[in-house]
Amino acid sequence: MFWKTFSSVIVPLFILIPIVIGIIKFRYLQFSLKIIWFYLLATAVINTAATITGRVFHVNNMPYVHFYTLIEGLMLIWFYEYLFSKDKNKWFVILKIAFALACVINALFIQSIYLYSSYTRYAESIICILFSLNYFAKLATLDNRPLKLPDFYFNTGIFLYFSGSFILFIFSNLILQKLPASITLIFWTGHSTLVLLMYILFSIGFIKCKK
Amino acid sequence: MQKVTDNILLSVLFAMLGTFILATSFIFFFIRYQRRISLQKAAMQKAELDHSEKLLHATLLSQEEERKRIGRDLHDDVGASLSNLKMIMAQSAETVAGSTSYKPLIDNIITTVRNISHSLSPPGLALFGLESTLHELFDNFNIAGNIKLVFENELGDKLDALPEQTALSLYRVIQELLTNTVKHANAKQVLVKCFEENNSYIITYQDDGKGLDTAVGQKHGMGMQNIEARLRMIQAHYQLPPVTKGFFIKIIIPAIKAV
Repeated sequence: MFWKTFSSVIVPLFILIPIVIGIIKFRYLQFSLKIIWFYLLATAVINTAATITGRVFHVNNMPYVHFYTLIEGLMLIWFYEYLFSKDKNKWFVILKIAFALACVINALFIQSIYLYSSYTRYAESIICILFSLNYFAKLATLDNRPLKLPDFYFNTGIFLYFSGSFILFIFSNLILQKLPASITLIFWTGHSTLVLLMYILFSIGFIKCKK
Repeated sequence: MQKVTDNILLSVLFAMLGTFILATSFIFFFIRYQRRISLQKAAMQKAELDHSEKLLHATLLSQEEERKRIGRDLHDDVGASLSNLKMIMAQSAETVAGSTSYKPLIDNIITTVRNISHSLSPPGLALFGLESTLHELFDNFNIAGNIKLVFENELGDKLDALPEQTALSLYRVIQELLTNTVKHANAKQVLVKCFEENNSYIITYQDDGKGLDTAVGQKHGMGMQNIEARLRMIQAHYQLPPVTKGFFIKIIIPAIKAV
């Protein structure tokens, strides 16, 4: 019972902590971190809507996952676009268009919107892992103590979350269909722990933002 | 063919755990690597700073040696030659009536040479200690300018017991401060006090002039940089407490370094 509450109540509510810290520090946030704040806000709204749809109306809420994957992917690509360069980069624009198209094609023709969007979630994970590794490579060339940089915490949160979850994303439909709910809870508890870790790191990142 | 009996639950869980551990280890090693690089750079910067500090000390020491040598040469050679000249001229003046107008001129040259020689290297410092050398310095300034100098020494003999290097550095610092006061401060009075406080020797210097502009971003001039370098050389430091009028500096010499 606790783990169910942990996954469906405690962790989703925990998102309020980085959101509130983000509001307090909002005027000190760089544009890339403002994108992260809006991403958290979008996550909170979509998650609430999906929970109400599933729990209150007992309707399949998987279409929200497809929509969420699209929003999350685009916002994280946008975040890295501003993190790496302040100027517009055509490759990031191409990537955003390609990812949006992939999400739409996947939802319409490949994976039903009533199933988990495992392919696009996986693609999103790989993109985010590659970007975060690129960030670490760039950071290694700078003379900086990483623990002092707010960006480091956001990047580390994203890196750890997607590195830990991408295997779950590949097998998510298989797990949801083949295994009983009591077993799938173990997976979603693991996933929620990674989400919690990401939110904690985001909170530290916002705290580290100064004038 | 053997039937595969692997548990999908365990396989996926292990795979998730494995990638998470890999990612966490990567972050851990990355932070350690960055910290090591950062520490190495800090150590290199410190070594460079120490090296330039040593160079500065060596420069100041050789400058003092050179001053001492020039001062001694001026006093012993040029001063002695001038005295001889004065004597010879005095003897020849006895034969040539009325030709004594050169005397004040030679006296003036001898005094100037002695003053230059003393300012280059205070001769009394090694013999009589800092207190009497400072008295001599203040007397010279008192004669030369319109500034009233007050010197209060509560340290007594401890001031004279300072090592020569420390005493010379403090002498130069006070000399520099006096020069600054005379040149820029438009002050009427200077008060120099020496006393002991919290196991340290303290020298305070205060004038009632225009004061030092310590506004943010304002760089100290060469004079203050010299003072800072000389104090660092004897492991002393200074403070510039805010004052309503004039200039005030507090020099702190740890007693353990002073003896």
